Amino acid sequence: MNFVQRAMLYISRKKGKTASLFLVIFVVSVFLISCFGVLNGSKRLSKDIRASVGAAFYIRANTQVSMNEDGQTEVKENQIRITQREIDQIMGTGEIIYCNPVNYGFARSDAIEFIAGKNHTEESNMGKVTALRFSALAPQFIEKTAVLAEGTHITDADSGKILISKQLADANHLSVGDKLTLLPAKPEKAEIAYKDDQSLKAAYAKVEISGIYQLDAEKSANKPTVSIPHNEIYASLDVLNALQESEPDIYTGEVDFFIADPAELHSITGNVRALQTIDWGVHLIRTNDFQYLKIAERLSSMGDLVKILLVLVSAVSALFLILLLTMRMRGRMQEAGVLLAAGIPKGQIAAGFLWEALSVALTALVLSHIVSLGAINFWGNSLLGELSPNLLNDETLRLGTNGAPQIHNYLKLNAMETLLIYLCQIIVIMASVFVSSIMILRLKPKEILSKMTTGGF
Amino acid sequence: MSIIKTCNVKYSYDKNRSILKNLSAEFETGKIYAILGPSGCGKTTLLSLLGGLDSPTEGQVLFQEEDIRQRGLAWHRKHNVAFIFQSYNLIDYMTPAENVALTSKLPPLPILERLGLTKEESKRNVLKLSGGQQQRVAIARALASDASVILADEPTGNLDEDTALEITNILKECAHQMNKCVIIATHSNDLARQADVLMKLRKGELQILAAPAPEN
Repeated sequence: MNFVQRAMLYISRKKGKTASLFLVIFVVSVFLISCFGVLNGSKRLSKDIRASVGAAFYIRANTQVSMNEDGQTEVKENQIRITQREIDQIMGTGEIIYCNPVNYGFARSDAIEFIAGKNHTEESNMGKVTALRFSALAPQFIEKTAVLAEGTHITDADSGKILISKQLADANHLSVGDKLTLLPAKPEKAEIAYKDDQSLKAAYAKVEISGIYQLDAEKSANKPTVSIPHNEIYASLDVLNALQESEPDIYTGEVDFFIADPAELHSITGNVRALQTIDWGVHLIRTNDFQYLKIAERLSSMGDLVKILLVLVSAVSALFLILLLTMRMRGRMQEAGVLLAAGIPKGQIAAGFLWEALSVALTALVLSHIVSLGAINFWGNSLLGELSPNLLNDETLRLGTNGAPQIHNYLKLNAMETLLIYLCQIIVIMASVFVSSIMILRLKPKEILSKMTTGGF
Repeated sequence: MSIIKTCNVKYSYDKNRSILKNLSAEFETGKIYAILGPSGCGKTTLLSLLGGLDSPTEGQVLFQEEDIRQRGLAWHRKHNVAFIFQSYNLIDYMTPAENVALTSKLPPLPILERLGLTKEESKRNVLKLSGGQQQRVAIARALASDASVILADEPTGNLDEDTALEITNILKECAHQMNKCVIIATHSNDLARQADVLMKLRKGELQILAAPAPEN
C-alpha cells in the first residue's frame, strides 16, 4: 500500500478529523481572502478618494507690487500668455490627467435679454464669457455651486457650444439645442457698460446651447448686469477666439491642470517650475490640495490599520494551523511507529501526512473561493456599495458628477492575488506538516518501539 | 545455519550503564526462541537490534552473514524482519485486510482466514475485534511481509490464558510449518515452555538454556 492509498483511507475513514481540518482551512481561507479583499478595497478606495477629492494646480498671472517715485505702492497685474506648446511640455512633467485652459471675455446677443443688474441699460446688456476646454472643470461646477441641469458639458471635442444658466434660459425661452449668434462686447471700466467698439463690430460667433446649468447663488440687484453670476456664459474656446478675433492655442486667462493622485502634486509642480520656457516673473503656480490634506492622515491610518489587522490575522491563522496539524500528528505517532517498524522510510511517512493535508486543503480552498466571492460581494455592497467618488473621467466631464458611474464594489480580488493567497496558504500548510512531522522524523525507530511497548502512545 | 546472529554486540545508553555486553547469539529458521529475563534487562533492546530499529554500540548484527547496516536498517526492516507487539499496534482506521496489505502485495484474506478470521471480520474496523483477533491480525501482517524472522515482544502479554495459548500455537506453526525464525521476548513461562530454544538475558549476557520438554 503506497502513501497515497494510506492518505486516502485516512481521509475517508477519519471523517471527524478530516472535517475539522477542512473547516479550519476553509474558515482561515475565507477570512484571509476577505481581509485581503478589504485591504485591496481600502487601497483602491483611498486612491479613488484621493482622485475624487482631486488636486490641481493653476497657472495664473503674477501680481507685481512696487513703489513709484512718489513713494506710493503700485500694483501691476500681469496677463498670462501660455501657448499650447508650453501646455504640452507641462503635461509631460507627471501624471496630469486633464488640462483646462481658460480665456475670459464678454458677449452680447440679440437673442438674449440678460438679467438686469444695477443701472441696467440697453448698452449694458451683456454677460461674462468663460471660454474653456472642459466646463465641468470650472471651479463653480467642481465646488457644486453650479450644477448641470440639462444637456451636456462642454468638452475638448466641442466647438461653437455654450452653457447658460437656467434663469437666463427661462427668461429668454431658450433651451438645449437652440442656436444663436453671439457678438463681441467690452464693458467700460467704471460704468460697466457696453462699449460700441467699431473694431469688434464684424466679429460674431454662431453657437448652440449644449447645456443649461442651475446656479446656487441668488440674484443680486446690487451688481452690474455683467457681474451677475446668472448671466455668465460658458463657451468652448473657439467661441471667444471668434469674438475676440484672437489666435487659437494662446491662453490668456489661466490654465488649470488636474492630476490623478494628490500625493504627487508637489513633485509635479516642482517639475513644472523647472521649465525654463515659462516666464515665472509673470506666471504663478497655485496649488489646490486642501481637501486631500484634510483626509490624507485618515486615509493613511485606515491603510495602516488594515495592514496591521491582516498581519495579525495571517499570523494567528498560520499559528493555529501549525498547532492543529502538530496535535493531529501527535495522534499519529503510533501509526508512524508501525510504519517505521515495517521498514517504510520516514520521507514516505511524511509524504503521506502531507498528501492528506494537501488533499483536504485543496478541497477547502476551492470551496472557500466560491464562498469568499459571495462574502466579499456581500460585504462590499454593504460597506462600500453606496460610495461614489466623483472620479474625473471623460464621462463625468461630459455629464457632470451627477451622471458619474457608481463604484459598486471595492472589495474585489483579481485572479493573481487570489492565487497568491492560496499559494501562501499551501506553503503554510506544507510548512506546518513539515514542522509537525519533525517530531516523528527526529525519533529513532527504537524510541518508537520502546514507547509502543510501554504504552507511551 | 543461522539466519540472523549477533557478534560481540554491546549496547549502552551511557558510559556507566551497559545493557548488553559482548552478546553473541545465533538464530535459525524453523525454531521458536524465547528470551526470558527481568524487566529492564535488555530484551526489547536485543529485539530492536535484531530488527534494525537501532544499532549496537559495538559489534554487528548479521543477516545471512551480512551486516544489516550494509543495505540499510530500513531495508532490513522491510525485507528481513517483521514485528509483533504486545499492544498489537494496528492502524486503527484500517480494516484487518488493509492492515495486512500495509506491508505486502499478497492478497490479505487467505492469510487472515488461515489465522481464523472470517471474511466479514477481515473487513470490519480493527478496533471492533477482540484482543485475540487483533493479535492474529498483527501476526497476519508479520506473515504477509514474507520476512524470515519474526520478532515478537510480549505477544501474549495482553491476552487471557486461552487466547494466549492460541496465539502461541500460531507462532509455533509459523516456525515449524512456515519455516520462520520466531524470536519472542516474554515474561510468560507458559509461552517460554513452548519455545524450541530458551534463552535468559541477565546482566547483559545471554545464557542459552536447554529447550524444555513440552507439557502433556
